[in-house]
Amino acid sequence: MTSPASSTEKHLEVCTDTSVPKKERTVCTNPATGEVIAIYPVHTVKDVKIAVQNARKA
Amino acid sequence: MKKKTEYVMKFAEYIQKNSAKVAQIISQDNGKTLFDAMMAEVGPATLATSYYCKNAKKFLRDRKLGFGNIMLINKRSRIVRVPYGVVGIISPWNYPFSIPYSEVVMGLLAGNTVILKAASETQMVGHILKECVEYAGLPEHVFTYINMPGSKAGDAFIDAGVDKLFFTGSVPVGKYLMKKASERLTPLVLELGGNDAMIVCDDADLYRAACGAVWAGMQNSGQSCGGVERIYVHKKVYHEFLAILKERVENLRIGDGKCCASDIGSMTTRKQMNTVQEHIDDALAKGTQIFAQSKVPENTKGNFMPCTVLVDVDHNMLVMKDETFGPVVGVMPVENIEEAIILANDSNLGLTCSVWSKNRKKAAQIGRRVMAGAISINDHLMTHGLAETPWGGFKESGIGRTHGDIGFAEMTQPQVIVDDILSTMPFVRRNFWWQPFEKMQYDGMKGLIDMFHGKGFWERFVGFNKLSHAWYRSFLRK
Repeated sequence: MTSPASSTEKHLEVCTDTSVPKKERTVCTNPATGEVIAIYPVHTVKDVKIAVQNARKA
Repeated sequence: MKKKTEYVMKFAEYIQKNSAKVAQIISQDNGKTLFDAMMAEVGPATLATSYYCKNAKKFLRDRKLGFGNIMLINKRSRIVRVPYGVVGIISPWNYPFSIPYSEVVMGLLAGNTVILKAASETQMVGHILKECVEYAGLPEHVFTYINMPGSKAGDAFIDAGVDKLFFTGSVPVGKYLMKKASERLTPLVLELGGNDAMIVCDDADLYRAACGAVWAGMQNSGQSCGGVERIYVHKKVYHEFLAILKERVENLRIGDGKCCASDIGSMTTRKQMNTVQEHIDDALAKGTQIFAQSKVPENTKGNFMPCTVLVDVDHNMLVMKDETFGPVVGVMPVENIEEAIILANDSNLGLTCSVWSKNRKKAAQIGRRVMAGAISINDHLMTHGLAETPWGGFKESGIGRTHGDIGFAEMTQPQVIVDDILSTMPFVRRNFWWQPFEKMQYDGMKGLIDMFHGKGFWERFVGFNKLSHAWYRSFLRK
């Protein structure tokens, strides 16, 4: 079980890290309250390519 | 298979240990009530694990084919199921756990590696699913989790060369992906929208039908592709049905779904709320009336929309001809069931439909005439929760199926192996249809046709005679 190598990977598990640039993150909001509940970094197209290559070898 | 099953059963173990946490995250991230999260996502996912683990071996078993022609009885054929390789899954925000979960389970059990992109709107759920798979300790790169905007994911997956793509989402995106997939002829399964009809016969249990309409139309704030959107009621019972529906809808409790004090939670996105409002406004401008509406919490930043029943609707209104994907149903009286069937089929979509009658046999016959992928009798929507029933639609509701044996088969491609049991016999040197060609072979082939389809004994006998002469070539070296 892996996530592809990414420039933002170090933040992958840090749900509340706001230091990741806006365009590189997904902000999760509780739709019932409007509160921000998590922030996750975004993978790139290159990450997907690497993921497929690695998956093919697995 | 045993090892794969052990891994996948670990997913269920994780869910069992963390079911409350998973349900809470689903509720928090998607807006549905805690009960909804447990009932429509966590529960079905866990049960599906057992079903697929129990049946995967059977689904993947080689299938022997009976011979189709006695003349080729020496050819023994079997179908084997070959995994695609790398399977991509792009999943939606409305059932952010259960939809991708089953696909991941099926993909892995079938022998693929899986790359999952969960909806950006519900990333917390995507990450808990990732955690669930991590718990099983799969070998590296067998499962990969991706977070990226939906607008980029389809192109990225196809360009990167996934061997098959499973997409659940909107019709326009499904059409775009199909066009994109044509560049590489990447096979797709598309689970797209629905604008699903409910047909209420004059002999239906109206209380059950109205309660069912409320559940399947409003549950998950109506954000279910297989939910009720259009209701066609026999004119004899129209007003009685509406009265029960009104009472049920007006008593729905809408609010934060974190505890069990709400029947309906919030909608997931503002964008979807705007679409729903646009459909209601369009219907009101064209003459509809709001017949019943629930109350919503005041002074809140939440995406709460009232559950709404519209009457005096027709098929010129967006609410009846397009997918609304919100807590709104339009109800129309019909002269007879023929009219209901015509109206139910008057849609570019065909995901699910339900027929409500005390005569279940009659209801099933009516259902067979509706162009939809899943027909329920005296129920609606819940078939997605049955692991054994294939899920997918007719028309623009999609291509292919997930769930059940047919859905499992989508994770593999059929390979046929044809073995000639006489081919190692020293006296059988070649097939009679192999070169060099002679007139005897031509006559033999014609004889074969005459033997099976000639008129009368004599014509068939002559055919057999010619064929046997040609067949004799098989024993000759030339």
